[in-house]
Amino acid sequence: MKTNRLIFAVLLLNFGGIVAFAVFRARTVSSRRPDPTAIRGVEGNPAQTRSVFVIPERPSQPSPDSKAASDFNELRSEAFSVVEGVVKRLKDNPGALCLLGKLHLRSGNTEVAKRIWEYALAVDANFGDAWLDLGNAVLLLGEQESAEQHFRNAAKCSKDPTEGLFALGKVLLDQGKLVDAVEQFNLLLKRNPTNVSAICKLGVAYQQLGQFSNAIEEYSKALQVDKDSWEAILGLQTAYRSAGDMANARKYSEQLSDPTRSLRGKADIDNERSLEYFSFVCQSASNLLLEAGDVTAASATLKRGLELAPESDQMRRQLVNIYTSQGNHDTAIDVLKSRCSTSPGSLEAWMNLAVYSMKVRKLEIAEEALQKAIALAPQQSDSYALLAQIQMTRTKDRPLAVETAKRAVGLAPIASNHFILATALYHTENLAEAKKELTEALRLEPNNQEFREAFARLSAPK
Amino acid sequence: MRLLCNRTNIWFRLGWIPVVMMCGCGQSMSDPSVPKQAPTATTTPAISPHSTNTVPSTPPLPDPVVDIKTRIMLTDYSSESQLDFKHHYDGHGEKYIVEALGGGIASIDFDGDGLLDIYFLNGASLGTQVGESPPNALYRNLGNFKFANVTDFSGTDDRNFSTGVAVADYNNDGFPDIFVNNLGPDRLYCNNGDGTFTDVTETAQVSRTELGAGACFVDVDGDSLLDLYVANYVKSPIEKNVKRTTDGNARYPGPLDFEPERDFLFHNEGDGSFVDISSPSGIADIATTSMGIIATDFDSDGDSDIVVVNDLDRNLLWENDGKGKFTEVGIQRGIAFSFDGRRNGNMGIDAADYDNNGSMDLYTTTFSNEFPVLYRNDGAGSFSDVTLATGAGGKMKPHANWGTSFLDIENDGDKDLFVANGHVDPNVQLWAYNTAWKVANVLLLNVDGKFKDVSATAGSGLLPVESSRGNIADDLDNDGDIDLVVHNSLTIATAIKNDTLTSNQWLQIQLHGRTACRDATGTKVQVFLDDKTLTDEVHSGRGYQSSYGQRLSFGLGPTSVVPKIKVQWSDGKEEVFTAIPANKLLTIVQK
Repeated sequence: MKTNRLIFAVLLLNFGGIVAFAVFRARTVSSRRPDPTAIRGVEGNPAQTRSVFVIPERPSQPSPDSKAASDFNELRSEAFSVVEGVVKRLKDNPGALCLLGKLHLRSGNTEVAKRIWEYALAVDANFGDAWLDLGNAVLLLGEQESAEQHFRNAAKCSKDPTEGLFALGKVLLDQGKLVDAVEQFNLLLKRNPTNVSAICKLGVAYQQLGQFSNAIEEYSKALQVDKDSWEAILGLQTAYRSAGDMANARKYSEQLSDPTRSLRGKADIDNERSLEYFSFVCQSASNLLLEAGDVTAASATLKRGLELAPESDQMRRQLVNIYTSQGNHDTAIDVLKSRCSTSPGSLEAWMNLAVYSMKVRKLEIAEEALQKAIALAPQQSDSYALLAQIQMTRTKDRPLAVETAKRAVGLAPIASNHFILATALYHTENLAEAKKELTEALRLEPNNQEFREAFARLSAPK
Repeated sequence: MRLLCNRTNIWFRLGWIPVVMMCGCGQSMSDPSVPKQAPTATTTPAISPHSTNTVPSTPPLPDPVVDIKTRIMLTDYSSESQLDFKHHYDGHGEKYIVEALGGGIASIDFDGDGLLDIYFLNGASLGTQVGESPPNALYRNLGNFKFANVTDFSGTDDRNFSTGVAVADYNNDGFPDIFVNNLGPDRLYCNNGDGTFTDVTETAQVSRTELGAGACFVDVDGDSLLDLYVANYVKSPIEKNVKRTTDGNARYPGPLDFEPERDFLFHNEGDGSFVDISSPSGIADIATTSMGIIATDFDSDGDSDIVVVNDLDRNLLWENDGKGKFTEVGIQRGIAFSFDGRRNGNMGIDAADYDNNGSMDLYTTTFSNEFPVLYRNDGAGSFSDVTLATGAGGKMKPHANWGTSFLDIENDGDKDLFVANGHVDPNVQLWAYNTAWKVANVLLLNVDGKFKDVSATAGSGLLPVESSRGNIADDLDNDGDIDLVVHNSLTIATAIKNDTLTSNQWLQIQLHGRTACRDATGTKVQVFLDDKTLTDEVHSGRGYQSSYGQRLSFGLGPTSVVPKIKVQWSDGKEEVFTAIPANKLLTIVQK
């Protein structure tokens, strides 16, 4: 058995979620260039006559009368600076224009936002995201018919029409155009049959049409994909009730009545929301720059963003991804370390540092980070599971690795922890115990190919 | 036994039994002690069931005008009505959540002259002495849609921050009383029958100080005494106020910033006092951020159940076992959430049979970026959210909605919908671009079970744009159609006179119970026409923390003689009447 392979198999198996940094989806960038006649803003009908785009004035900001207002103004101003910079740098890039439109909309400049999107469509009439943005804006203003048309265009233009179809289906539902909604959701599900939200909305459309058996079928499908889908459970309860199947309706009523599911929501905190939006803007801007091949500007954007929003793990992950893609692991580790130093009480920060460091074989840093994580959360099994793997390789202290792995199993007797313990036992040449732990791992996850292969090798005659 | 004696005395004191016995029919309620300066309402013979259960002979009706094409015409009568009440609150910049709530409004014929008077709830200056705030106000209907402020004389000038109101004759003396749900001590005003009220809160033992919401009188155990359900919103809204901002601008905190407060149910002992039965009845088991409430017999089993809609929490449906024990069945019956599983920011609620299937449907108003929700009752007491299929959400999704009424605006025989709108925050335009503090109110016309927004063409009555909250929907000028008064935050009310041109016929029914509750709260009436059956109930407490509609109103379409009326009194007794001429205010005294 190759230990290294096993370690990384376990890493991927158990902590894939932690190391899977968010990456924004790619945008198609038009190479078309505008006419050289400069005008202010995006006047006229840009869909027909397009002129040079001039950055519109920012919306006025009232004088701050509190620290909250002052902080918000600073974030908004910086967000505008970031996006306007990208718009200037990537001339007539429809993705950048759309982002600027979003920012104006978010700041209450609805008409300016609409004109920016119209300009983006003049640049590239098939840029689906601009249709989507336009549709969402007019929908929020209550203009359902206009939104419907924009979403139809989005669905038609986009390489991936998923978002357009979903938005179109929803606005059709809202207007009571139920048969058409069914059609759009079915189109979407042909491309993406496991889209739970779309399956549930299709169920809603059937239910509103009085087609309860169809609705039940769709909600059941949704539940197969996501067993915790609240909308699917509610849909099944109401659809079964409407169909007169009270026994099944009761079953789902009980699930809905489960107090752990019935918790009230969380209060909306302005500061968190502002930071989240700012983070979104910086990430989107960075992605656009990356797509244009300007890695330096992309990373600079994120670094600037992190100065104002140092707690944004999304931005940090994206920056780490950029450095990783350039093979600049030390800088990436510095980024993660800075989060640990600004938030030494954050378990997530230490775990992120540990996992990344393990991934790039900086095991000493990883071990230190894990010791910090264990000090912060001694009952969390993940830290022990990772630490055991380091102890097996870096310090070669295999008996200690066994003890650490046992701790992980004791805290969380899941398959992957049994597998790590089996590995540690194998290295102490305690083959009988190792086989026992592997057997347990296989009992918990009988279809895991990695476990099966390890078990076969262990059972093979020497 | 003591109770029976008391009530018998009341009947004799009012002189009703002799009237009924002598004439075979009653007459409109009146008491000699009530001042009679105001014009008397259209008087029509009351009906009492007798051996044949047919209507006494009446003068022949004029031929109905049959050629008029119905044209909805709502007239802004705010200034002509002389309803100059101005809503007030002042949080001195602290942004207390209670400021956002505004308040309710009630219709009440407090002087028994057959004209519905109006009681407005007022806010208060928070953090100052109670006495410094302007009071709630009672306006007497002078006839011709004109009103006069009689607050000082009436003694109903509560100065707490009032949120909810319920009107009913809780002591069965023939005069409607007023319960006011406050932030601070609640009030129960007992109508003295002479145009004045007495604050009986202490003796009635219904004084609570939590931040109140809706309230309703309801006979929970069938003893023909109206009990009192008091809904409450959140705990310690002043003491534990939370400072919140949106985009850096100060805004009101939301319900999720506080612990929800539980509701209370008080049992009417029949001697002027109430006893808190919240725990034994079961309703104390759940604390939610209650807003509007309504008592309705959703499962048609003869008792009144209670619907409580909640702000960002699931709605509650308290199913009554007929003896005053309640089980919460909101999830099971389908009203806890909207179709997409949302815990909406529910505000107001009304109940009516919009599809004429004989069972009570529900309509809830909601906060910004949510559709108001129409829950259709399938006839067996289970509800489905049919908002999308019926268009009952209109185009109101961007806006916060509050007051709401099922009403048959053009008397065509099905219930339409009125919705009062407006955001909670006067500064909302600083961060929201899809709604506003002041938003126009909406009328949705029921056309074969689908709702069509006719606000733009309904006349000047829907033109005033304010930040509206509670509303009443009643016939304020006794002309046979339903008028509206809308309570607006921080300004005067909007009075909407219904001047709709139509040849449709109508029937209004004022019920007087004898063994049932005196004001017939909880009584169900079915009006059988050739092609449909109209169903309604007498409610106390509905809409957005308001109270109205104790006189039932039925639009009859072209029907000029109603073939049959069935009254299911709140005590379970039934009576049937036949061949009722249209275009009457009918007073029915229980046999």
